[in-house]
Amino acid sequence: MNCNILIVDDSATTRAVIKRTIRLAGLTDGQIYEVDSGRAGLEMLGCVRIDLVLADLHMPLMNGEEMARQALANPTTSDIPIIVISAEPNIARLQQLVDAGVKGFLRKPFTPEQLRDCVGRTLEVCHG
Amino acid sequence: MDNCSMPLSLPLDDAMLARSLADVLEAVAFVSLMPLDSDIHTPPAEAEMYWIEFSGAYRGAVELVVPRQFSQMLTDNLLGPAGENDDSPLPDPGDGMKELLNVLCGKVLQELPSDLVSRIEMGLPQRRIYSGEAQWQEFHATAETFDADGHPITVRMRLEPVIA
Repeated sequence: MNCNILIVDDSATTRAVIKRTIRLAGLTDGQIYEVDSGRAGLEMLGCVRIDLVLADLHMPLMNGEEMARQALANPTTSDIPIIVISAEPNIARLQQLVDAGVKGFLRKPFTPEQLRDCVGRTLEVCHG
Repeated sequence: MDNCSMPLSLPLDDAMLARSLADVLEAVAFVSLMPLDSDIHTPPAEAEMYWIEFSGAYRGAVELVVPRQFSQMLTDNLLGPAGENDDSPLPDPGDGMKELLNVLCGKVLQELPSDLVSRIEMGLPQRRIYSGEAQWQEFHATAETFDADGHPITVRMRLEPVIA
């Protein structure tokens, strides 16, 4: 599958772990972009073709919730699937994001298998 | 930081904090948490303090003090061996500890009743170099220290209700 994936997380360690898991699982042959804030994520969505966004919630400058809401409200980016990957303790907040159009969420800590299944399933459904 | 704390009457106690820390260390970095053979009375060498605050219905923080060596080991464990196609620059060792703390705080707060957790907002993890004997004595007196794969790791949670 040749999908471009955008990882939005302020932790460089987490971005590296996610990127490596996706590569090792062979989930895409496309580009994997990474940024450290919601604001940078929106900028990236505006200038590069992205097929899937993996976004943390707690970030400086702009959090993942605000980024997701703006991306979903923009007709040019509203079709791009977003998965939230976060340590957020409030399950209701995560469910509200799903109700608003986010494709799903994965709670930290996650296993490589959980990430692989979640990303693989979403890519299959949205771009299969 | 505000050093005021109070006894916990919620399902958050020292045992739960230790259990959560053990679970998170094992899950993210394959690090085992064990009781410490003998207590430590001075800060570890090159000690670093990491903390994450939260606010809302309750305010407080989860705080960790670790030697710098542990931060490096944790990040190495998180990242695993470098892959051939891995073109990302290596993160700062403190970045892995901040992420550990972020995950730990989220896991601990999940133990709160849902009506409370829905009114709590987590902040961003912070780090500073830890120094000062007096500061250590105050922290150590209200914290728990464990052995994490040969490194001392000291953890504390502060929690107080916010009166509207």
